[in-house]
Amino acid sequence: MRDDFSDNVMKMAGAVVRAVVYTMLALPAVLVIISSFTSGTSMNFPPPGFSLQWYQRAFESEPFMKALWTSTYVAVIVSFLALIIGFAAAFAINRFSFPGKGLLQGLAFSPLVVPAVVLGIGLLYLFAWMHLTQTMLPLLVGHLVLAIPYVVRTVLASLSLHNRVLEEAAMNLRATPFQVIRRITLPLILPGLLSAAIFAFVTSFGNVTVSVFLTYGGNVTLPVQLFTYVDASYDPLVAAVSSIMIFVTLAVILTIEHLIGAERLA
Amino acid sequence: MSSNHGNGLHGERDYVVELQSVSRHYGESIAVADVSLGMARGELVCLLGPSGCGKTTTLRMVAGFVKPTSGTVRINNQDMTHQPPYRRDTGMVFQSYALFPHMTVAENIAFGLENLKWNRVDREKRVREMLRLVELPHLAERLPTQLSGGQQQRIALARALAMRPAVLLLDEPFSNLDAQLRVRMREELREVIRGVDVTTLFVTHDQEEALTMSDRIVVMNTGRIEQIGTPGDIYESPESTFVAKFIGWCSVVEGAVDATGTFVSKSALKVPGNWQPGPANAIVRPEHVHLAADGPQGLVREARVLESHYYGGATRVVLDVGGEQLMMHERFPFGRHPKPGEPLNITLNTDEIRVVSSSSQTFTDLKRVAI
Repeated sequence: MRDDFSDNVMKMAGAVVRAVVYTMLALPAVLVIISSFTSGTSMNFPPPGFSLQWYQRAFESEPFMKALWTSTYVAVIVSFLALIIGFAAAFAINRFSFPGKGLLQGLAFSPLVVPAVVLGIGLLYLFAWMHLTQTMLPLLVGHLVLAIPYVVRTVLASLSLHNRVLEEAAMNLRATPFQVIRRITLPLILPGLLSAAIFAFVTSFGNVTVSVFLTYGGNVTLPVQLFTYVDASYDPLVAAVSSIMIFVTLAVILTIEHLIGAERLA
Repeated sequence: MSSNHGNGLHGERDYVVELQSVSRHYGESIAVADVSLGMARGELVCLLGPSGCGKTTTLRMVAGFVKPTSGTVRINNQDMTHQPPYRRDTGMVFQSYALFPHMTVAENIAFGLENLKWNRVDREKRVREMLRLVELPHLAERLPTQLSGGQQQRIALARALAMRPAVLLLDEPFSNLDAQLRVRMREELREVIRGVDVTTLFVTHDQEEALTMSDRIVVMNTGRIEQIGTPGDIYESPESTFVAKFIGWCSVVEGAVDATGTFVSKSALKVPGNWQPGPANAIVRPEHVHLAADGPQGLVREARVLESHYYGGATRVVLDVGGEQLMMHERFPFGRHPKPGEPLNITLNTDEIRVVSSSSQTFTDLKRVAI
């Protein structure tokens, strides 16, 4: 009986902790989304009434729409490049032993320990020295550096769970190493690759600290544009744009989940 | 089917698979040491030995997954030692079957044919043919996860044979099946292999599998070949104590062969013959020991029962015969099973007992076997 009682208490406590954590995680986003539909002119909660006026303002705002386009564009390219580079690195780390392997592995994860601000300033100096600040290259490289560790880690996990005997079987069935990767390895670690792509997209799409240093020719990313805007004013336009960001991110994740089935997402 | 598989092939040069002094070292440890073996067309050869004896490494060297440290691997009279697996004319059935989980059964079987650049029509025809061969034509569109273990094994076999490889390689093909299914699949597999007449090399640690399936058995121990021979050779005329104790039941009697060629044990048990003088062991199998009443004529010996184990159809009795421990396998009438301590009269069929040199065997090794 006492065991039953303590079990129940633990179960209840667990449920409460989970509820609190989830609420804390979701509440800010929910508040922002609710306030974005306000009919008022300032960020008040609860909103006085429902309207889509701030969304209309957001879609009519040239700086925000341009920034949304830049962000999406950069995030998609970064996801692709990070996936290719990250897969190659993870494959090499998983399959081969070579001198400097530990170094490569350390290097692949190092952006996780270097503060993003330091990385941003460093890249700014580097590209200024190379006279490349007026191109998209700095932004791409900056985001790539941030995204690759997540991709390497995710793909490495998939590769180490992947059954190597299947590759031997394919080789025995006359498949060349390239055919083995294309027809056996890649299809079987596809869920891992797609979750890696989500990580890369989200990392790039939501980043401020590095992006703020690496804008080019008046092209800023959406989070940076938001920051600049909030500096000057505090109207619900910010909430509407933030909600659009949340919707885009959700759309990407849901599309990929739909492609592979959510339960297989690593 | 080739008419002369089995013995008498040494000296012929037309081998499908030939290993010439093949060794494989991993740093200090030696997995395979100086293995030479030739397989004739259509022959079914088994690599038999305890785990860690190098049999799987040998098979993987034929497939090309392991590179020999020294020696030559030849397939169809061509040096394949340095060729990657996908350039070798082999078809392998893996221990875990290794069917591709993201492809249907038909796609699995067609995979090798696609890589060999067969056209679609021929591929589809061959896939249907292979599915008929393994009697599973209704499973073409299933995924491997929807198949039972026995079905997976047959599909793996079909996939390997579809390419018409020069040699079929089987790595412990039955170890993932339960005991009853194992015997049935063994018979089926043998029938299929005989039917397509493919040269086959397979690896097992199961002596029964080796004895029932093979034309020749290669017994391996610590990376070396202990003996090569037909199942009959291996069982009836073991050349070492290791081979004798690995295949079937036996009692090992320590002793020496004297100048006249007669084996004499420490307790004066004699096995007359023309044996090589020196320290030796007599290999006494249970079927060499009979009850005095119904055995072949011979010297009747007094024995005492040490242990008695009832196995249903027969009783396995460990006897003390003049100081030597011998095993007997006999059917006793119901209720008349011998009990430890009871006396029994037996005869020994010394004509059939083999004597092998024991110079390389350690004493503890023998002690363990005798019990």
